Amino acid sequence: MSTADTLLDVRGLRVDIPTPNGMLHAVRGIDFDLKRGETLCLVGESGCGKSLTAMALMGLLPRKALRTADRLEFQGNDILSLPEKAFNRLRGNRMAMIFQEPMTSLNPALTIGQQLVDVHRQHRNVSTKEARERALFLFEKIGVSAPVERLKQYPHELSGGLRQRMMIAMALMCGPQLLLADEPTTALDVTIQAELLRVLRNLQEEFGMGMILITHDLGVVSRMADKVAVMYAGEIVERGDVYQVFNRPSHPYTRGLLECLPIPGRHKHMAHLPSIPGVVPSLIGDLTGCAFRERCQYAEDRCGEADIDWRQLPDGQGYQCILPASSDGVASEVSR
Amino acid sequence: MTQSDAPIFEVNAVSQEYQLGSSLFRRRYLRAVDDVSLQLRRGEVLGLVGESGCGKTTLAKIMMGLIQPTAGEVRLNGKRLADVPRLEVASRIQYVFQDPYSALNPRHSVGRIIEQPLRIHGVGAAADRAQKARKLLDVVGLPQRLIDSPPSQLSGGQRQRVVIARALALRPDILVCDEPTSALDVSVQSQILNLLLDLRSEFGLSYIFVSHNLAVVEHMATSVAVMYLGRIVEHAATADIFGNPQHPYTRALLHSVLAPDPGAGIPDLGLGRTVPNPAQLPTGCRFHPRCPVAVPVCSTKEPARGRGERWAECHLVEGSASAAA
Repeated sequence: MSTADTLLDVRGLRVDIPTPNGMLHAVRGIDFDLKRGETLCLVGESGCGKSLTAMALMGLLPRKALRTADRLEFQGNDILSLPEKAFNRLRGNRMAMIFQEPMTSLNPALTIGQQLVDVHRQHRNVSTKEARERALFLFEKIGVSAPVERLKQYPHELSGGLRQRMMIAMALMCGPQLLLADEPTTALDVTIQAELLRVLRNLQEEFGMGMILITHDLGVVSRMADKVAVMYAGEIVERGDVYQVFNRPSHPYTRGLLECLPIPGRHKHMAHLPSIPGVVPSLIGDLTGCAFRERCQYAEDRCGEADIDWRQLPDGQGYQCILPASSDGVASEVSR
Repeated sequence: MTQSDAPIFEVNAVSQEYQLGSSLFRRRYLRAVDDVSLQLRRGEVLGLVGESGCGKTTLAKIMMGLIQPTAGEVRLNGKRLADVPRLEVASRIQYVFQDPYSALNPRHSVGRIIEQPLRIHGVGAAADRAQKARKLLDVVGLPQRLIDSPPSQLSGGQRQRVVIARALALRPDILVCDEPTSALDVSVQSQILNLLLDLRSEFGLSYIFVSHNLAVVEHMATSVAVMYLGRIVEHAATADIFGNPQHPYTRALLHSVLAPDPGAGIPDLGLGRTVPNPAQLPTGCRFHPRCPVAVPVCSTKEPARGRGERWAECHLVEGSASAAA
């Protein structure tokens, strides 16, 4: 499975969090891999475990959370058993992360320049001057106006969009091979979102980074992803390349998510929109069978009796459901 | 749906200025809302869209009578809002908040939260109020067993239903919905939108629907006002805004909507990197520093102010054959 191009190889990743009511199984054994230059989008609703997955990869989980996995390899090296010190040499260097709210991720007491230089000098034997030059080089790429002045400014002096650009610059200071972006544009205006997504994509192409983009926004996923993994209640319930998942969604949850979106031309103005009834099940304790069955219009008795097998289609798409692959277009898609 | 011609709600030439601090010689002002006029008829849903800092929330607060505008007036059923007693305003216009997690008192039960407006307004005896609260649970599609639960036991969608039930308790005519679904998951968003649509037909409600999500506005609104740095730069019926947008800013906003479309890429909006600053309005057209089609006149002369049912405040639109009626 893993090749020279494989950046990240994750098998059976679990995150468990002890609570007063019992163990909360937030991420319940997920597998994925990522190649150089590829974008994987983890998509799902709040509480599905997508952010905790990223935190688990970065070793940033809350102290009491337990991370286990059958395999967790970054560029062929096992990071599961890596001592903290050795992992610190990777984090912020070869793997970096961008968070949703830049204001809480930047140090309000230091100038942007100090923070960028510090990150670089932490990992590289460079002078302050060289680090500043690296920052200005990235500002140019990211499209930061008045770059020299920016280095002297504090985070509160910048707009939300500019702060997020600074976060991107900071993440890229050491030229990471893997970039994790957790809802990087959710807190921003739609106009700024488009601009920043373009920047991220261009940078990724230029530097050949692998990117894991975490978002709840299916529109963003469809335009950024090479591969998509749909998460529900701590599991990946469907995966495939972006065309497969969007043109042939096969898990009822994926289909439901896509149908819920108001899309002009598909739904009559002011008519009822399709919705997914019910709520996400509690992840405390053991879950048997399909976690989505309570909300699923196709559920049968057997959905709750035993764990559901993963169905792998020949073209690489897969999903965890008893139903046959989506009827609309399996034949045409496969023969294409 | 009946849409009578007389507006039930009017905003006439309303402005709101904030003083930003002053030096010995000069005072600086931020004009958050600049000479805005809007009308709402019964059953209408007015979508209000724009970026953060454009004045949407200030305008919504003025409409609620929570802020006295520095100029202009708001009229409710023909009467000046400033002359209508506070309680009466509250019984006609109610607010649906963005974040149902912070809009509900965590120490009160669902029933008590929904009854609260009735209690404040002295409506009925305690038993009547309790019965009304139970009925409102039905109206917003919440099970009766939740009546004694605290909000902490409810999901986000359920909490937003409680917020809506509370807003409906006094049988208002108008709901100001401020980003009512942006804190909710996609699968729950459509449930709340469906509920708002049902309530509108059932009770003849009118909505001011503030949102940054243009796909939602297109689905929900009968007319749309696009706000930029304190002004409504374009106003039209929903089909016209989305089918034939006139203002370059409206067009950029529409391009920024990322509908699911694998392989379509991220559009270039052509807005450049200038960030709008309400404390320092540009000369001429306030949009010209970001406008992809600006011509020299845009930086010197402000476009004519819009009025009527359809307008776009843009020099280029005025000069074209399709000028606003």
